[in-house]
Amino acid sequence: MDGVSYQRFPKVKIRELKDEFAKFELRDTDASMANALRRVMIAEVPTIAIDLVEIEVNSSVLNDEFIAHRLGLIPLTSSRAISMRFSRDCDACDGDGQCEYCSVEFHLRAKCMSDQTLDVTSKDLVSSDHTVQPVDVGGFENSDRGIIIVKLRRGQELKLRAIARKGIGKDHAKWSPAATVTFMYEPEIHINEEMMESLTLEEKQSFVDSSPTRVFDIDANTHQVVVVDREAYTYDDEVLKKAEAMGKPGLVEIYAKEDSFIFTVESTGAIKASEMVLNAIEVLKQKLDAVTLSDDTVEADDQFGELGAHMRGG
Amino acid sequence: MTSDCLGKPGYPLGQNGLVPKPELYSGQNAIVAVNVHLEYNQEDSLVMNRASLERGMFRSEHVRSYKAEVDNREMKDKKRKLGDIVMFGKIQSKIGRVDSLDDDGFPYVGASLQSGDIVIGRCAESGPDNSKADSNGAEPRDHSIKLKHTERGVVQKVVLSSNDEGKNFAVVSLRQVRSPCLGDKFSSMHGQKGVLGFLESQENFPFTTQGIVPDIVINPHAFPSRQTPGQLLEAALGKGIACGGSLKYATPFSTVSVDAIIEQLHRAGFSRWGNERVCNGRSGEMVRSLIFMGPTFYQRLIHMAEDKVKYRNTGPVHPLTRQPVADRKRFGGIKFGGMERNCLIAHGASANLYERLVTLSDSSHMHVCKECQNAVNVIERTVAGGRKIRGPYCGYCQSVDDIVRVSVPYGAKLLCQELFSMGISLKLETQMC
Repeated sequence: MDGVSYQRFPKVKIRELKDEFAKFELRDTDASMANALRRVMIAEVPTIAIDLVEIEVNSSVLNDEFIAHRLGLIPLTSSRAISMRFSRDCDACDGDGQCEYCSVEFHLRAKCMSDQTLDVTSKDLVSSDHTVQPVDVGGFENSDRGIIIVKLRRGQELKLRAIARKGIGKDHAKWSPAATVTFMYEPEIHINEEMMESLTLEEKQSFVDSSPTRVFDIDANTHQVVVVDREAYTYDDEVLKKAEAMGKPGLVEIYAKEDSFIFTVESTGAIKASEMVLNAIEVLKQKLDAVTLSDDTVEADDQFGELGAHMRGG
Repeated sequence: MTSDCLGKPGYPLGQNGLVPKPELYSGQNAIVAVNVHLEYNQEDSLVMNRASLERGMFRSEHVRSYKAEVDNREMKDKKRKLGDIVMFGKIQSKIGRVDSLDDDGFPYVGASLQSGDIVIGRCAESGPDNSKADSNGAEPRDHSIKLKHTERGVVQKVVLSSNDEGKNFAVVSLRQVRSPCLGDKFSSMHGQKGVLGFLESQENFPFTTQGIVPDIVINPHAFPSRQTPGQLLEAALGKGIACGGSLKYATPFSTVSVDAIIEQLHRAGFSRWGNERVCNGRSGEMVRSLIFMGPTFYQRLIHMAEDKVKYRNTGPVHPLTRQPVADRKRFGGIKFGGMERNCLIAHGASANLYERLVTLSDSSHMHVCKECQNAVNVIERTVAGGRKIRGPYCGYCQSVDDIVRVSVPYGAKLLCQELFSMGISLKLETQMC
């Protein structure tokens, strides 16, 4: 055992990075690491979301619970979340979520005075903290209006106070910053050229067409089957079945590389996709710290005995 | 009166919900995977995604209304005295809490009422002009309407009106918003019904390379022998439509052939048969087999666990048999029936059986005369010296000498007495134990 280290140094290569979208490669690590990262991004990266709603007047068609639920699901800009306190750990207030360290207050007042239907949107929420705002939903139709909470007709009114708090996706999905977090194993595709050459052009074409995604194509000049986009392969086994059906098993061989992953990360807009990844790594580190025993604690020896010594690498 | 309504009805696939809806649907399109999920979807139960539910899937609103009539002051009956007129109003009730009631006897809109609270305060007016004039002062009689122990909700609206006979009445509607919970029932359009067996977190579900996670996982054993391949066709067709296909009529009289469905799926970039490669959500490893996944229309059925939970330790008993009542509304117990009894006998658990059927049910005593083996009553009789004493006395033997007290279920004693009333006297052999 001594001196043998299995430590690896994972590499990350960013392919595409936008505010709410990221695509990157993660290499030289296990599925366990990749999956831990995915799970933490979905369930444990903190954000801020409306958690408590006090409704003063509600004469809209939706009931109070419905509106409170809708408010909770509105993503709020949460770059501050990682440094904020959970209101259950907050000393400044008795965990009632009324102080500036753990909560942000919102107000909403809307009354329809005209004959036209009034859309109450996330833009109508007035925040007590300028860093925490409902996200700007760009790129969609009606994006200038924000997220619709409720529609009011003439004479109807909605007046409420809401308190937003820090939380994680494990407690409620509204706190999850992730819209999509997924990874795929990088495929390795080998074409058996010799066997492929024994096919007619027509057979080659039908082989290429058998894949639902464009993984293979035929070179216009050489009439050879080439791999155009191996990452388009979804491991659906369609081409393998086709090869078998043509009586040519082993025409292509496809393996999943066990140590490289292609991540696709989309955020709700609460935090940037890049922040989501970095915060996930930070959260993961904190979790590891919680289980790592420090070298200098003597109590650890008393407490864990041999196990403690073992964990410290003794 | 009750009404149930789904909170956010679904919209047709392929329309993104941005166009005005032609109809309101009674259910929603959930992404359904046909797979085993630990052991939590055995025997037609299903596993749901907790994140989906928290985002509002299958939330429903239930409204229940309570009605109370009141006497009209103007057209009072001659026979009724002024003090007996029943009016709405708040009084300190002995039967339930009145905290959320306003002075007029109605709860304010938005008040949260718990089980046992008063919904409508109602009392008979009795002032100083009350002819009865009770010694402890005129106390208004309470006619309030109370919530049963199974009922609760938030006040939706309060209506005051009168009927054709000129009687005033009030209706208070209580609303409850329910998110699916363990034990609630769901069904697809193919009669594949099942109860919710587990709420799993999003990150633990298998995920595709596109990042799609199922909302519902049903067990593959639901299909063989049930003859509902229609559900699989629905999922496969729906998947193609959701990925850019056109709306199709899929009635039994029109033919959307399997070939058309698989061709559409192929064009949309999916495996022909609707299967997908997924990774295990817990370990991140690729699952060896492909999983069938697709959108399926599911409905929430009204059979909900909250309406059916039944539990009690002590509670009301039936006045005749002195056994616990069975009704859920009356806070009754769960029947320990003949088959359960057989089971305990088979186990040889006689002490347990005795406890269940006697001690915890209708344990009682009766007296038996050892001499004549008749059941004996407790009576009051005069003894020598004119003193009256009360105790078991055998009228047949005219003695108190050989009377023993036996422990029997009240039901047995009742049977004894009923037979006796029909002229049948049971002889009871007794033994010390």
